[in-house]
Amino acid sequence: MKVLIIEDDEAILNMLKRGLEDEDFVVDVATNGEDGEYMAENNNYDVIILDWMLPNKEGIEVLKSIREKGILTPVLMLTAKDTTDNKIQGLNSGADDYLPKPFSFDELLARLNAIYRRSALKGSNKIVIGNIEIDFDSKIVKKDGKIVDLTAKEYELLEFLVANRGSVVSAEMIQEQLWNSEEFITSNVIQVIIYRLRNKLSKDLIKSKRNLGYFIE
Amino acid sequence: MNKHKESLKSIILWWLGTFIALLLIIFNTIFYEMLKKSFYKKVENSLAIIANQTKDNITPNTDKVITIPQKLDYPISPVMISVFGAKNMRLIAKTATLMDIPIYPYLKSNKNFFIIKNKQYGKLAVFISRIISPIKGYIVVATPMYRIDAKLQDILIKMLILNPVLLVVLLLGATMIIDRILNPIKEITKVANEISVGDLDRMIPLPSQKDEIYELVQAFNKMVIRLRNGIEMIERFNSDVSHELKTPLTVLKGEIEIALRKDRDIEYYKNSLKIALKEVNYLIEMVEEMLFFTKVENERKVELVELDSLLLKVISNLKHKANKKNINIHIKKIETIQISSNPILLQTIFINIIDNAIKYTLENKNIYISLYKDDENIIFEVEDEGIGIKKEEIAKITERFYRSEKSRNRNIKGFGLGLSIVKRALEILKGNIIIESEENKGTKIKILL
Repeated sequence: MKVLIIEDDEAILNMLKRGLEDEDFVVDVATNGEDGEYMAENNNYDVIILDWMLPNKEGIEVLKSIREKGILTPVLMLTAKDTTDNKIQGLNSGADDYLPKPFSFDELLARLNAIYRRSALKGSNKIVIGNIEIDFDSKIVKKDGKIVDLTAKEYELLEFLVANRGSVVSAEMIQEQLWNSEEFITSNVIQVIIYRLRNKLSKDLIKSKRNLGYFIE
Repeated sequence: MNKHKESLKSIILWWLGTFIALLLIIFNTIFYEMLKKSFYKKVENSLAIIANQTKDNITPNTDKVITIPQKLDYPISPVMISVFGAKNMRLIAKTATLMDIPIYPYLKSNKNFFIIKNKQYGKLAVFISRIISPIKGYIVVATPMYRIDAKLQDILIKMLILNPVLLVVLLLGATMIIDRILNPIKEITKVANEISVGDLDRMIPLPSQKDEIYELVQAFNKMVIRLRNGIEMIERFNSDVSHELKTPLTVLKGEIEIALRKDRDIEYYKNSLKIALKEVNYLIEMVEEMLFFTKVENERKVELVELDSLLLKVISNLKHKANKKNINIHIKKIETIQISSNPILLQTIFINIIDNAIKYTLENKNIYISLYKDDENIIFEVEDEGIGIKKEEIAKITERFYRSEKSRNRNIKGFGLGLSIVKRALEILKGNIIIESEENKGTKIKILL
């Protein structure tokens, strides 16, 4: 899952980035409203974690303007403001969820997963494709009822393909989804992961479309 | 009078009623007595006239018996006239019996007008006059007082009826006036009872007349506004404090939870603990700085302070901080100045201003400090070569917890309390702060004492 964190407090940002990356999230960060808005407009994220109080442009303003521009990426607002009015204002401005500081990291994870499930996986937390079973909550993949040991990147790629089931996903899209903006990889790396996934699961689960990308039927 | 309710109205009415009643009693008694006296005087005069007229018209008889002429047009009636001889006080002539009255003791008295009580006639007014011719003796003229007494009694009864009526009318009038005065006060009480901390938007409507009540309402409304401002300030401060507390708490909680999610190597734990310690220290510093606010509030003691040596002490204490960033502190000018003031507040001002200058000045740059006196003020000036403050932010930087965007972005440690403490200290010392700043060039802070 790829997330964008827009948060001005360095300590919170570092904590979140490290914590989420530790959970195999791909994390991009912005430290002010304007940068955050630019990144949200120009990249694809599964969830945006947005702080309310930001320099340059307040979080709520960023939220309003990205929604006005038709960007529907789910947004989880993170803020020290915790009155009911603030919550209502946040949700009415287009936020999908609201978490007051100080929050529990476990709760943040659960909420991020729930948002992702709702938007990308259409609400399900388990999917069966042929003899392959994927549990999105525990991130466990089974083949013929037996657990298959996948690396974080392998699982991420599988989940991404499942989330976009039926449509072709390009190498660029995969790179954007699995790695953050500061990481650089060669296209070879994606081919290697696809090759390993095919070996571990089944040869014909992930199909290729020459020069276009990969897809799951 | 309702004595259970100790209302202003009943107290005023009670005292007013008592006072008016006493006045009425005194005035009416005097009036009645004077009336009585004048009635009696009138009777005395009439009797004297009758006595004199009779005296002139006495004609002696042969056997020394005299006749009293009967006249019908006396000013009062009925009148009883008797003549007594001088020698043995023998009754010589009479128009009506006065025998039953023991008149003799009065004959030789110096006075000549008496009120005598008699069983037969009731009260009698008696006038006695000497006769020298044709015989020597006394003429006694008397009249019963019942008419005059009846008249007086009539007046007395009328007074006894009218006075309470007058008292009641006066008190009713007073009640109306008091109600008119007190009604706005009742309204104030009602609204004041309804106003609570959560509902300070209410105002008491101003009365149309610009009187003392108007002033009271005005003063009351102003007080409510002041209270509202004060409470808003406290609420804002509370929300600022909780916001400032939440940030380090979020980091602490998150950091610990992440560390505990799985087994980590020692380096990871060490790093987590370091981060946690940093946040805890931040929290401690913040709490201490907030407590400093309370401390500043309590500093009022005044003593003789040597400003220059105090400033030098502060500078030498902060020098290590400047040295860390390789910042040079230059003392441009320092005069020997003694003032009567509070040394803790002055020290607080010096420390905060210089500490800010060090915080926001870039490495290898300079800070210039001067302390001097002009005609009116003692001036403490700190000029830094720091990041500067945006024009639109200058007014805000003395607010509690306000931190300029730049200082936030650069992650300079602080809570935005320093300058607001200085501002408060200056308010107590009746000093002034002037901030001049140019972005990316530096800030000049001038403190006038």
